Amino acid sequence: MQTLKKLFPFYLRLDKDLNIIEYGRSMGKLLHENGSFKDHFKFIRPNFGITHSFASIAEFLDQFFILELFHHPKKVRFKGQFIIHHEHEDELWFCGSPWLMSVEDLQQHDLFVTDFAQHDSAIDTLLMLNQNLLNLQDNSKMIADLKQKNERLQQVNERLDAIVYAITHDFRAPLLASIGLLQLPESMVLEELPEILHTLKRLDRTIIHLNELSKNEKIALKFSTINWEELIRESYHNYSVIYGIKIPIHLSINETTPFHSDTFRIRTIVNNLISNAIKYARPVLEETSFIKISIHTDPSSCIFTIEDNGEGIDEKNLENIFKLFYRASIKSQGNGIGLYIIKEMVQYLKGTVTVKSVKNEGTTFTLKFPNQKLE
Amino acid sequence: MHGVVNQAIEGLISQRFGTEAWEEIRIASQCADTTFYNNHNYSDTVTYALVVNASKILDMDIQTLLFEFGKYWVLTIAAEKYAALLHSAGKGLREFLVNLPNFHSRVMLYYPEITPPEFKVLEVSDTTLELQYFSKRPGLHPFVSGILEGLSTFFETPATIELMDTSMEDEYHKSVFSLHF
Ligand code: HEM
Repeated sequence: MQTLKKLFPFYLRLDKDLNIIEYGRSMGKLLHENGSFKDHFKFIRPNFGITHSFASIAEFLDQFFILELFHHPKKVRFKGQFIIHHEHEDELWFCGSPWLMSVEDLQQHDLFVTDFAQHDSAIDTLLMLNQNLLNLQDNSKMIADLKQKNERLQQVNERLDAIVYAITHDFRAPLLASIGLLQLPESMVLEELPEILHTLKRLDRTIIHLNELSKNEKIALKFSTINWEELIRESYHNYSVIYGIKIPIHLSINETTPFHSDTFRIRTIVNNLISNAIKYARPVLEETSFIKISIHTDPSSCIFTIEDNGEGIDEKNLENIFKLFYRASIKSQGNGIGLYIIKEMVQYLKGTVTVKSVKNEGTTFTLKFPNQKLE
Repeated sequence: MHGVVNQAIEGLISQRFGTEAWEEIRIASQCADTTFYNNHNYSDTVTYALVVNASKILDMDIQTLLFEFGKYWVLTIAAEKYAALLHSAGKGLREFLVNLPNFHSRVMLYYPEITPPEFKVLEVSDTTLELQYFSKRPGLHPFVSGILEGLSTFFETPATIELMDTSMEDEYHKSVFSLHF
């Protein structure tokens, strides 16, 4: 008898008239009075053909039972079986335990793991259900991860396609031209050397650009204070030397608060914009060419505008200029990467870039960056 | 080691030292996984490498780090994923610990491939418990200290926790803790 009580802490002992004459210590946490079995429990399974009588239950001794303690504020169901002990033949014993669907249900009924017998797999089922929830969490995380990786792969793939296309077409043409020129008779090669040098330098810039592009993906953001004046003067100086043109620059910086952002990306963006403004200046204008840069920072953002009166861009091409390897014309001096880098980096910095341009009048780029907090 | 343990390492480092520090430690540890799943088993080598590299990169000694990982595991990871489970095993820390030996045995039912630790609990007096920890893995007792400290906060049961002894018994690394309530 003691053994049985230990093995089934939720047991019930019923007499011939189905009065509850005793119950287990754990059942005592849910059932607070003896009384009649009928007043407390109803049969969920078996349900057909069973009544609240000793004889009726006795017919179902070989069956699995689900009982419901219906008086309980949060109806509890039990699973188990009825037995007749050979030393107590005028009694019915219910041996089973509550069937709960989550660990939280345990808490709701003020039950603890220790209220269940060690052998009772009801508690393991509960733990398993809890674990299943975590499994579901894992699954949604995996799906989200996969989706993100997929999008990323697609993007990388598209870029790879564009790069392969560029290498086979855009890189090969100048290389073949240079090889052709180098195969001319020696005296003529000498004459062509400046042209060859120019072509090779352009190829080199394309490679530098591709490198910047791949760095954008790899280098983590690192915020520091941007020294606009120094950054712009340095870039302007470098590109004036590279292109051998000096176009007057007007710089207006209105900094109410310091601007914090990622120096590597801001520098690359500025370099590309200034290099474009110089490269696409109209030679016919001579001294009247200009580059105007204005900067306005406040605690939340920075607006950077660069305006020139250079070649300008045809309206029909405007929407495409930020695409990788897009060039407005076959004669375009660019490699179609610079503006793409600008767009990618601005996006990485969670900023925006817009462009206004009129062919043969000039171009204005307006960029807006969030002002980051230094840690 | 199971994902839930590695999550504590990742979580604590990212939260206190930033995701960049975590990335650095992860890469130094040659850990290719960028997320640890709840129900996935990872090589112990990864777990140990993460702890060793975290210690180097954050300039903190391994014992302190393990202790912090333990505390974080209870107060953040388990509090989020297993709160009801922890509560279901006892009203307070003392009752919970008396039931602790069963805990990982049950967990092993649905993760047969794991090698969780074993515990023995001796009720020395009304105010003192002795907790013996046995693991096939070396050097993790500061992690246990941290978990116990975290549990004391979780159950709001103040307790002093002391490491009394560490030794080897057969292939098990044994540590004895004394808990005074
Ligand atoms: C919700 C409760 C808990 C769950 C679900 C759980 C689950 C786990 C799992 C899955 C592992 C990994 C084992 C492996 O990969 O081989 C583990 C390891 C471990 N657990 Fe728990 N655990 C729980 C509570 C505790 C508590 C309360 C303690 C300490 C007092 C503890 C101490 C440890 C230690 C020290 C390890 C590291 C492995 C080792 O020592 O060998 N855990 N646990």
